[in-house]
Amino acid sequence: MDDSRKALQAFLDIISFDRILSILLLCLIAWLFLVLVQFCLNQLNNKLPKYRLIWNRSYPFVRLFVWLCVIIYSIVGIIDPHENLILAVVGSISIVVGLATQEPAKNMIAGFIIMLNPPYRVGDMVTLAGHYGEVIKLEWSVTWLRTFDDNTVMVPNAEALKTAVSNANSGALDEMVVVKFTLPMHVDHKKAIALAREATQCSPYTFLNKPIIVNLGNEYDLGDFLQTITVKAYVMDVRLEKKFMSDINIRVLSAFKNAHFYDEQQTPTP
Amino acid sequence: MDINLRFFSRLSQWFTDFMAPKSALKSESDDAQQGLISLKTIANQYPLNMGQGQLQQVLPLRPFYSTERFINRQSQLTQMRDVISLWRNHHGEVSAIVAPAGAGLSAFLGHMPILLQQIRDDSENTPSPQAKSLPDKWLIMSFYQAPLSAIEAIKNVCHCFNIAPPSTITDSSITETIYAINQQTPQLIIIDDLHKLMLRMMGNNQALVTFATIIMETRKHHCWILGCEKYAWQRLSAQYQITHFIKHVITFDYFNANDLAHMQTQQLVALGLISNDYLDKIDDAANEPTQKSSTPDKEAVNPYDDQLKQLHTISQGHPKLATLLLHYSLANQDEISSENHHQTDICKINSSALQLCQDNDLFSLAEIYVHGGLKVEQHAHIFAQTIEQSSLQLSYLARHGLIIAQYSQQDFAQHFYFITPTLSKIIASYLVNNNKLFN
Repeated sequence: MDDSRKALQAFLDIISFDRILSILLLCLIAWLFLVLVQFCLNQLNNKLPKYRLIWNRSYPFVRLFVWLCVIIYSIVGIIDPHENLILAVVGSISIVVGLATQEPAKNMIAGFIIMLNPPYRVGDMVTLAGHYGEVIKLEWSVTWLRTFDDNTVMVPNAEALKTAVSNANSGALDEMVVVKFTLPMHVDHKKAIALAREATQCSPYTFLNKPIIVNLGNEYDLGDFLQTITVKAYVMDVRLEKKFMSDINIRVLSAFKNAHFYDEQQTPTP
Repeated sequence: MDINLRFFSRLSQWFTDFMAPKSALKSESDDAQQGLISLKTIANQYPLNMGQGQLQQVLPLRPFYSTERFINRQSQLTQMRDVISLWRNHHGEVSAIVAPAGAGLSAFLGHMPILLQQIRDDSENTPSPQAKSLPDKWLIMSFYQAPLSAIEAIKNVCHCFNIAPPSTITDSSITETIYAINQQTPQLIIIDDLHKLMLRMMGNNQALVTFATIIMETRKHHCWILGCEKYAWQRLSAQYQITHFIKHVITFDYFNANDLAHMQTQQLVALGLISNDYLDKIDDAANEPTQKSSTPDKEAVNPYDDQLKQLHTISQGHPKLATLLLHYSLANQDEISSENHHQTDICKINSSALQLCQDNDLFSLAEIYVHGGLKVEQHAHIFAQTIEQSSLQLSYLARHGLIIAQYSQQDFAQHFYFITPTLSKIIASYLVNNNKLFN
């Protein structure tokens, strides 16, 4: 009983107004510092968008480092408790917090693992928990995606480690886009391939430093033999993915129509 | 946190707006008082803009390929000598000279006939019996319009040699053209602005392949030298692997501080602000870089030394921009600063107009830059939009001074827009930073 009372007294001794104030002040400074860092990174993004993935990637690490420093300094520098007390408090809190917050703790650990060994980074285009979009924020416990419908989706980090993650650009600004076209079997396939390639080259959004691949295939659909032309090309910026797909469709379909590839289909058979 | 970031963003915007000059209300003179020159003001100094944008009103007063302002580039000239020497010794290969827009590529190519004459003089002194004789004829040209089919490419090449082009293309057209070209007397053919042959439109691919085939098959007989802009060359390399066919690629960049100072000192001499002695000193220093001049007169410092350094920093070695800044700063010296000419600060460039550009504007600028200019209809085709939309977009860019219009009196779809020559370096750097142009 006396031991418990002493422990409680020791615990109360370390909670003083000035210590709480110091910790709050430290947190405030850390928070302001992080706001400033993010503001500077946003300015850099605006000035040098080409390197936006690099700036954005650095922020989660800076935030992790800052908050770790705050926690360590608060405990060691400000509270400065007796070792036994630390052990007792940490032990008790760990059990309680661990039981109460299994899922968030799991997500935070997953977030830490993602930061150390990243399957994706800020700026990547990923499919995560069935949602496809750009990673806009990587936090300790959750990852934020922005989809092409302009929805913001929050995915728990544990989900990223549990399921397969598809990453379209893996840290690069360019990204491969695949567009498929179907043509009647009678069409000259060599001409079709050449037209598809040239039309893709003509798009102002095509990243020409990487190759344009055009593959020919065939399929049987609704009683018709068809040939398929698959265009694989890189877009200059992941954010232009849908625009690029649409642009390739416009150009390649126009080229095919100008070459009269679809004319026979439009003519009703007697 | 987002709320706070928005607050900071707004605070920053407010601060910028508060500090920035109100461009809509202020005149050029007000800008000059603050030591600034806007992109629009720079564009307005261009002769085409001063002449209301009608091509026929502003025909150049001196030959386009003039060597009067040619300066330095000694190592590149040596490489060119080697290229011509290799061609004479039956190792004929196609050569290319690659430089960023405005770095003096056309001036360099314009110097080729003089170089040819020098080689001729040298070879007369030391004849080499096994070497081919130097070409009697030389030709420098730049194509105005990119070919969009094989027949157009063949016609373009035939015009170079004054050969009648075939009226229709057959399987043997290219072979016949190559044969006819190889029957001509050997020539030195310099094609400037190679990038103008490249157009992001259907059919251009085949035209370029035909063009390249003809050049490759006639390279032993004729000496071909191609001049191309740096970023366009990069695109040609990525798209058509042009580096596989070109044996010698000679590159140069914008001018370094010394060369630019030399060039601008010539301007100062021409304006009568300093004596010819300073120019002689620079020449002496260039000729004898290791020997320090001993006479007190030669140690005198150019009174415009600071301004010349500022010019290099601001213009980043772009010769036309440096000349413009020098003239503008001197002309507006009363507003800018001082009692004496040589205390005048050089105007800094206010490039805020570029920051106003949206993504689609930057894409347009990138295509105009790489193509060396676009017509409204070509722009509309490249961006899959209507001619009216393209016309409005290009007018907007021209209003900000980023591009210059060359108006057609017949049809607005034929208006031709090109990057303001003095701004080529600034615009290219901005486009590279914004992921619209690639090194």
